[in-house]
Amino acid sequence: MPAQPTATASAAPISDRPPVSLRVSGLRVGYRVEQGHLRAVDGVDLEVNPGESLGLVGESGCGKSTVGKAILRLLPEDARVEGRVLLDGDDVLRMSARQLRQIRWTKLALVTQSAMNALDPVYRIGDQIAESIVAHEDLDRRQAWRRAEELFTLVGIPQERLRDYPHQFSGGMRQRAVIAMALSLNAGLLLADEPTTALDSIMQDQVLAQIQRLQRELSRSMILVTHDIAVVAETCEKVAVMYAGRITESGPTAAVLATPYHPYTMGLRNAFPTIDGDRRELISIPGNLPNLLDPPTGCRFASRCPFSTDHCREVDPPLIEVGPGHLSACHYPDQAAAFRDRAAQRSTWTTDPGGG
Amino acid sequence: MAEMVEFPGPGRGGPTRDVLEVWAGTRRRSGLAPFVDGLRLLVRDPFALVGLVIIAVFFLVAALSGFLAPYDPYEALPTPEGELARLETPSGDHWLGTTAFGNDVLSQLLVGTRVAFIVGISAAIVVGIISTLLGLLSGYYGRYVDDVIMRATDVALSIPTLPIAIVAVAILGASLRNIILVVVLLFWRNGARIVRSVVLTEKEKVYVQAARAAGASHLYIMRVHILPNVIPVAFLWMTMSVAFAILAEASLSFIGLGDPNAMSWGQMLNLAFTEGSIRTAWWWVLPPSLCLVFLISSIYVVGRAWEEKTNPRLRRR
Amino acid sequence: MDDGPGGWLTMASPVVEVQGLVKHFTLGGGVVASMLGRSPRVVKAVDGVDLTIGRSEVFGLVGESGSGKSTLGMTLVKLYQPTEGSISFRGRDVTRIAGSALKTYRKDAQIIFQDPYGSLNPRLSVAQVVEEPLRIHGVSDDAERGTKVVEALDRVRVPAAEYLDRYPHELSGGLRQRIAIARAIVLEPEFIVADEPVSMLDVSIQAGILELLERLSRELGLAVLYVSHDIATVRYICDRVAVMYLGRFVEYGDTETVIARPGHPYTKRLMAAVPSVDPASQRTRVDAHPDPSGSDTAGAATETCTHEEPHWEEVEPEHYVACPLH
Repeated sequence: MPAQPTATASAAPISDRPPVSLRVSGLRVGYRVEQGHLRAVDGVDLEVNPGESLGLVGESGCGKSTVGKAILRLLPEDARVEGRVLLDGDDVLRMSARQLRQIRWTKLALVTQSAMNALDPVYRIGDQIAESIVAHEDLDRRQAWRRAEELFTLVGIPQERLRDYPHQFSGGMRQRAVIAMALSLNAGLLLADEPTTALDSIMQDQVLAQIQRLQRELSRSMILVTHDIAVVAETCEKVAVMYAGRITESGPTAAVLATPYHPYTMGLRNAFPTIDGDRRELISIPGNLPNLLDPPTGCRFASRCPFSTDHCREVDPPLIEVGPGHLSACHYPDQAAAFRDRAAQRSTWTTDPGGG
Repeated sequence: MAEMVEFPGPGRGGPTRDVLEVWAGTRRRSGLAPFVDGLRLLVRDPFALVGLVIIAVFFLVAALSGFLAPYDPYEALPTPEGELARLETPSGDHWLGTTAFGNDVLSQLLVGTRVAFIVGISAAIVVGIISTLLGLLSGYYGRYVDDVIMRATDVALSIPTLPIAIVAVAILGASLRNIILVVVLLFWRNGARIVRSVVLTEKEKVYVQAARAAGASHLYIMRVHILPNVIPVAFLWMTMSVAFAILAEASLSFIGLGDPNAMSWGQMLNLAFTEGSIRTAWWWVLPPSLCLVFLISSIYVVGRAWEEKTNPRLRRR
Repeated sequence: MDDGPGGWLTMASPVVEVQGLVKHFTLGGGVVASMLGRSPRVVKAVDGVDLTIGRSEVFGLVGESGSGKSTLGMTLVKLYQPTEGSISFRGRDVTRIAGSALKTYRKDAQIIFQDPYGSLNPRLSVAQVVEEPLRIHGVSDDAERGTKVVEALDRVRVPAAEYLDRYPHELSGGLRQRIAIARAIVLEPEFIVADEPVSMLDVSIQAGILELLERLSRELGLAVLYVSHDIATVRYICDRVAVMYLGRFVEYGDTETVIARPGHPYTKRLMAAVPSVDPASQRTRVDAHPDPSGSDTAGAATETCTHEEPHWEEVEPEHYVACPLH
């Protein structure tokens, strides 16, 4: 849309950019380390349609943050990246530095884990936001400041606090300020990497409510990377569960969490403490992630899976459609209902705690 | 009821390791381990390795100087004709020639090496002890202790270095001991501040609090949790002090405030200068100058490399 | 706080008994400031708390950051000196002890910290970390320390042979937290403060640590104060819970009762903040729209009542609410 900034009209409406579509296919990320070749991400496909929100969940070390960084091209130089990351059809992995700079501001924005690092302690927060707007868009400082004020209203912080320094903000407010900053350039896709992990429950709730509201109202596309399946349950339309560098199950959040087909998803669900309804047993998933230097053959979850068979340990299960848009990488989709019942019992997971 | 546990990852020693053997194995790591590790990293750096070798050679020469020196450094040597061997150019008899007083330059140079090490090392040890102690106390106890020590360093820091050194030695008298004293007086202050800043970050670590909650005494916490992080920094400061002390002694000697009984490199230069030979007798002037340059730069190179290796933030990937 | 729910607070032989505990921090004090006549600012982190914890009990303490819950925990293990009030441990007053009495108390009362990455000295091996308390308390025999360390690791289900000679950076967060717990129990204490022990861990392994705490409490007869911002986790290991807000308790009682029928607006708010894993449950967010004041603390209702002396009401058996708004 043609830029027609006037002094009176709000310099540029916040939602003047169309949402972005993202299609990741065959993404592989590897590192050469002393002991060999570490496959952090091993063949990941993802799809985010314009205006859609996708949650990427898994335990520490499963590769979910690496996927996020690969999409933003923020991986260290020694990483070996294969596959495609199509942002509105353009492959991010093959862009020049200049193109990358452009899309980083207009199409992709990042909300990181540690809000404190994203803000410079020696400048006022408002100046930092306005600065980045002025640097990347055809707006003067006054207009940029006005947009910063608008953004603060959006994220629920009084406008006058734009004149504060980062240390004057509490953790939750800082995280919201970082969201405001990420939104300041109207990027079509918001990538939030554990945006609430450092916060306590009330702040987490507020920040998530903000992110969700903004994403819907401004119809942005979003990827939310987190270890917390409940956060995804409430915030995202779609979910992809990652395990040991691969997607094990994906689909509409409601379907995946209500009727999981992969035992790992069942395990993640059981491990989550709930407040409503009866107190059920809390069951953690025994065991560790497999060694990614030398991943086992067959299903990677087999060593921790209470239902695994010899077939699982030999043959790699493909992602198969188990419902509309619902994919699961388990050899036994027809037994999923029985698995779900058994997975809800603690004894199922504890038969062999040592493992070997 | 069985309980779920993250079981051990891919086994390292296999499941058959004997617990008590492993326990015994954990007993063996000595307190010097960080030093050994640091040294191991140092020798991998070619610059630091060259520096270390130069320092080692100088040190050996200093230790053996009495044995290596062909003549008494103070003896006025005669020529075969029976005259004073005045300002002779290097020859088979006198590898580095002789001074205006007929002394053998090589012998003086060798003895000077010993003086340099005596001054450098004694000053560094005293500086190291004082800075570590005051920095630890100040940083760890904070409050009034900190106020007092830090005000003292402020005062010390406001003293201009060279003028006070000159005045102090002039008043106290020119002796090696007084020169060391002056170096210590001028150098403990920065050392104490550097150590203090390390202590301030270290004492806020959660594991320090954990030790406190377990009942550890202040002495224990300082020794086990804080000192290991302070020592590399203090050690770096000590190496710098060695270089500074040698330089300070040379400067003071050059302007005539050296210990008349100790033939140091600075003293040699001072004599060459007062005799008006500084532009003519190159064999008298160059050797002590080059020795100073080589020894001091080697110390700086090694110190710098040490800092880089022991401080992860500076470590290059 | 003699208005407090006395009956619920007293028990036959409590391990820890706290009365009217107050911890204030003075900021901006110092020689220069006082000479300049600046009056220091006082932060009332804990402002009058009563509490008892019995043998084999895990007591839950919830509140958001800044509520004073961690300060309370740290004061109970005497990492902070209480400003007012009393702490007694097995009938013995430990409020103002020092010297050898304090050292004995340190043996009896331990703490587990939130951050398993910061609470273990990276220079020390697992063996050295776990044996440290033994060394501090003068167990000089190496073999004896070895036996106790292995036993403690056993109790937290960490295979000693595999992990004794490892260093913290080689371990996952969950394992580190197990090591921290082993270290806390190696002196056979009777009271442990667990300060947010799972909030930095993956959800998938939180359950294992919670379970471990509960089992240790049962097996060793430990009194545990479980401090957390997440009321959902409290539910799984605590029989009783107290909700803390701005330095004071606002509600306490039997955990299931409090969760089923929260009486104080702040408790309701804490509960409303817990996300649900069930996408079908349409949880209503209390604060769907931003708080106009921009502050992160609870709404105005709680602001007003905390400034007065709390008035306790027993809304049902074993369930007390401070100035409930009916």
